[in-house]
Amino acid sequence: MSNLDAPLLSIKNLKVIFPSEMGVVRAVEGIDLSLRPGECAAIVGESGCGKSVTSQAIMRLLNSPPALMQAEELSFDGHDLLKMEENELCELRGRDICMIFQDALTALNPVMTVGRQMDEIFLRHQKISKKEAKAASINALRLVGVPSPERRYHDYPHQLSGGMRQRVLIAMAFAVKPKLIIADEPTTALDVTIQAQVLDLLKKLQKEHNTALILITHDLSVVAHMADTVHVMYSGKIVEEADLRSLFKNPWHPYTQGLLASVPKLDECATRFVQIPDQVPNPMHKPAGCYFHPRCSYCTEQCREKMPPLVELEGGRKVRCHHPLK
Amino acid sequence: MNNHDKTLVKVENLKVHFPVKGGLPFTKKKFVKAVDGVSIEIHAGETFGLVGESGCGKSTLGNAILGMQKPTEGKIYFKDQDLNALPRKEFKDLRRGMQMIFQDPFSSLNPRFDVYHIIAEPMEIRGGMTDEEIRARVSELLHLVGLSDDDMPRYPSDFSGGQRQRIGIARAIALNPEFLVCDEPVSALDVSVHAQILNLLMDLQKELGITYLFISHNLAVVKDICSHVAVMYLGSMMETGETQKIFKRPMHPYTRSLLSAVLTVDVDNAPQRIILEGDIPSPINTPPGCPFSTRCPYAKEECKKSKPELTELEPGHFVACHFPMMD
Repeated sequence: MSNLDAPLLSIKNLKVIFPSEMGVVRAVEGIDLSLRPGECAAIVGESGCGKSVTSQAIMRLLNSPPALMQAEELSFDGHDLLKMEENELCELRGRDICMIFQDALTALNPVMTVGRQMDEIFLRHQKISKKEAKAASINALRLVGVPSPERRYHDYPHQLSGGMRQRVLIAMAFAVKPKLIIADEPTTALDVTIQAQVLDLLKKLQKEHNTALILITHDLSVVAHMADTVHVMYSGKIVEEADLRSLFKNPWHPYTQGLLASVPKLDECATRFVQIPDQVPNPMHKPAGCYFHPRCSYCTEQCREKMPPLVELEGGRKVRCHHPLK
Repeated sequence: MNNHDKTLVKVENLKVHFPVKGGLPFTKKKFVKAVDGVSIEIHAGETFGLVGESGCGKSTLGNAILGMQKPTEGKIYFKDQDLNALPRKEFKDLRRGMQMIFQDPFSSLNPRFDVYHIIAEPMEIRGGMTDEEIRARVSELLHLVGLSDDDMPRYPSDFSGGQRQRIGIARAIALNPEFLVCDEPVSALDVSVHAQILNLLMDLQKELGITYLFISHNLAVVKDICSHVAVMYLGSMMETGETQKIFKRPMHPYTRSLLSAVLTVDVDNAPQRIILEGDIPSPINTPPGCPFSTRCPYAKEECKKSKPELTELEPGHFVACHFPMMD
């Protein structure tokens, strides 16, 4: 890229709906996102808030039907993803945009050795021989810290531990040096100690290769050590958007505040855990007004009636709330 | 709590070994040493935390305490009765007082049963209740866990993860158990729902006086709800004692690394993390000395040769390490 400030990925007003016999599920309701090369943006939210659907929409992985998607703009590195044909997209996926999935055991093919799965990426996207592909795969495994990669190359996924499998997925994602990686809950299935290892590895590789990263998670403590900017999603809409530091220092949306408070802390002594009451609304029957108002402790008459717009306040921070907690 | 000092569950030098299939004939049979000599005592009314990475044997220990797994060696006492020496009939009566909450609320509820049948099943199996009594009890249990009567005819697929876990809890407490094994009850749920389920468990304990064995891999969760904690690694106990003491001054290098691996939301002062190299070794070929010696940053020659015993280094604080960190 000649211009460093030009966004690598630009999304404007992305909407995804799933029509069904029982009603329409509005999974994503107008999302804007822009990402520069080498930047890490986090999308945070509870299950069912539309964060995974967003990532699949970016990769154009949603099957239609049942999904219907619409956007004013969806461009990646000068390509208009909305107008691309399926075969062009196939070229792009895996070479320029890669994805790291949550559950490494289901993301890997169980009847193929790890090595062959990795070779496929190189053979598909680079013009090299099988022998060279094998060397490249072993090297990629070594880079992510898999011990004795020559032996592991011949192992099947079930022979590896959970942390090791996640490392293999990361190795596969970084294999052909993509420009953008989407990591969908990369460490949720892992233990705390392995989670720390994997996150450090992900961050190191991202910085080394200057890859843009979209990190999708429900855990704000994962975000704290990875992201540059944070987008908090609730029920299909972005409710707060800010750089990492200001969001964690003073969250303006009551939902962000609740999410932050619900992370268990080691250094504080609590007799009760802070909880956000109730749960995410059913996507088929979203409440009127602000979607968060039934769970919000600052809710007023205005919140029950009118959905607040996402407004930009000082410092480039955006918040969707009638009464931001400033 | 009035009977806080009474021991409810006692585990003595428990070993659970699983034979490994295959191997050549006439060679020595291999065993997975899932639990290798663990002793714990759980007092009535308390919450006992069991912490460790996956594969350290914490779930196997929980299963063995409930009699779902026969121990290779060692004894388990529930209310001073040796569980594995009891005749089947008496064991069944005693077992009613011990129930379990499972980790994954998506696979632990029968998808073809509605909520009413899921919760009523334990009472139907025990018998001695009329249909009206069971219905009244199911309704009472649903209210206790924060659901309503309207949920009775619905199926598990209609509920979110947190609500399903509530159904699992209602089922577990249906027969008024005295002891509950909670096997990672929140790790399959969103962080925002963790607090709801943990608060519910604490409220139930206050109301019904249930004793918990709380199995988890996250020390931050255990800290606030448990009075005693045991840290396990590769089937052995590394450190155990009163929660406050262990969190104030962890002495085992493994406990320290576990503590440092807990992610925080503090963006300014990220704690100095001790990141362990590699994975937990295979429980088939456990290292001869200290089980942790292969990953321990402070391991010395001695650690590789002899296994350290669990010793009381301060009152109510036991550590199994040759070189405990006393600073």
